Amino acid sequence: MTEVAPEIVNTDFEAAIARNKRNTVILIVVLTLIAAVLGYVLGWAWGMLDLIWSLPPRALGRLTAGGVLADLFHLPPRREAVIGTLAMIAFGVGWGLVTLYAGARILSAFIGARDADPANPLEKQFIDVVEEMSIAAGLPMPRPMVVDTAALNAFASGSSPGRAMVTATAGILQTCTREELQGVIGHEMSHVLDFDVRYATVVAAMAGVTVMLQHLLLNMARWGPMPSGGRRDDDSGGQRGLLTLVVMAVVLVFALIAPLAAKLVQLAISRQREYLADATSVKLTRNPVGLIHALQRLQQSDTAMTREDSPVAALCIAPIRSFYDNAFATHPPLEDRIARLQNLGGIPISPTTRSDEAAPPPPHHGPWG
Amino acid sequence: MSTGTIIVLVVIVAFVGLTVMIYNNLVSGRAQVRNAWSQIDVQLKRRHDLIPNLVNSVKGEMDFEKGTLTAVIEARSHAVAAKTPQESMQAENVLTGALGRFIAVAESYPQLRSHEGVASLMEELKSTENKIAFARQHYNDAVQNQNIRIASFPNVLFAGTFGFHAETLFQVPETERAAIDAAPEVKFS
Repeated sequence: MTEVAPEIVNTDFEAAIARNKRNTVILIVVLTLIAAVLGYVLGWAWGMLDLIWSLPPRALGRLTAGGVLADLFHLPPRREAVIGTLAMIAFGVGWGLVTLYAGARILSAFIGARDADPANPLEKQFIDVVEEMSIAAGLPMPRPMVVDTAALNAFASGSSPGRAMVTATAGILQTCTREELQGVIGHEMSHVLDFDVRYATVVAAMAGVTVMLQHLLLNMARWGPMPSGGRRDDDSGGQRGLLTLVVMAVVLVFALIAPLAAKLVQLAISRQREYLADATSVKLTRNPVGLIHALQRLQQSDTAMTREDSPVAALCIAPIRSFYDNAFATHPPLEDRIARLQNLGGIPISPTTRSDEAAPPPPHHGPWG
Repeated sequence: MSTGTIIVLVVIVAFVGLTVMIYNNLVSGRAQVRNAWSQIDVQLKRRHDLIPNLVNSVKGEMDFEKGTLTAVIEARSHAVAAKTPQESMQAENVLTGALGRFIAVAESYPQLRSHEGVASLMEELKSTENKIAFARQHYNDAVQNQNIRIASFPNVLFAGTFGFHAETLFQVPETERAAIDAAPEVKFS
């Protein structure tokens, strides 16, 4: 799944759109397969536990830990495993369709975004800038949303340009000048333009569900099943407990592997997309300075989004910081992006010092920043 | 049917299919150009509607800048009265210049900036100016796309026959550029 990123930034929008549509389908299929495997294991565990706790003591003696493990791969599988697999496939396909149609709204609810309020001057400016950039891109206007947090970030979501949302944090609206905001929104608009949002929204919504499932499974493993008919008055309790542990260990292993696999798929969002979005932003604003200054502000800011492992990470303009930053980064380093933009603009730009005492934006031609 | 007939049929079908694809592609490009053009008009109309409001709310505060304001009002009435597209384009360019000067002047007066109603109108005005600029820019992007389509092979073989011709770019005249760039100096004395 992890596609090898091409070295050269591809500015062919139609190719980017086609690639994103194709990748979205592949992604839903792969994640549904992962879900199917999880469903199989869960169903198997359910059937196996049922068996362990209902076998008469004499038959139990013949069931070893190895036997339990072998049963996981036994064909034909247990009825419960088949049911679990089918249920998870149905769930995967269903959830895939839901994310395609309502992914943006689900994400908004998840991170607590609300509609931008035109009565607030800063948010009015944000709404205006979103409309301006959508005019420049020739797209329907996305719905502007705000998250009330001091962190500096913005992202676009939605399965198609007609259903897109652009979400900004209150922090970035407060910190950025109009010109810088244009650069940021231009970047997001280009994600809308080449259907990055469809792919990324599905990734995010899927990743969200995987995280939820993982919590569910881990909790199950921690508290263990309490079979209703268990604890009979015999001396086989120890054996039953041991076999139960074996089953739970299997579940635990898969519960840990599945999100990791999902994470790897999520990384298939090539970092190249970000360079393309930066370049497109400049194409829309005809002004690299705004985006460069905005990225410099993001570089200097140390307020990270609260939810570090948030599934929306891949959608955001700035990386969401966490320990495994470099290994699992969804974005190329900001320095690198700034350097590329400076090349694009053909002008060296001295980095601004602090966000609060940033140099006034240099004079520029064209639209009022 | 002989193999020869089949080959001829396949070639004909392929040719017709290709022609249809090219035609549709050019039509959609032309539709994008037309649509982009009408977007500019939408934004210009919005600007005309906005100016009377703006003038009313800053009139009292801007006694000292009567000239700038009058220029805006006059440019607007010329733009609204314009009959031909040529006239209209010219008048709109003058209006853009006048509003550019107005924005620059207004931004340098603290009492204007702090006035809440004026502040929100100024944002509206700036945004409208940007929308017009971006709508024109998008029009040019669409024109450029379409012209590339028309001129590239094999489209170029059919474009003329189907009646597709290179579209004209919207060009900002030099005089307007100069007007936008040269924000007037404001003296506080």
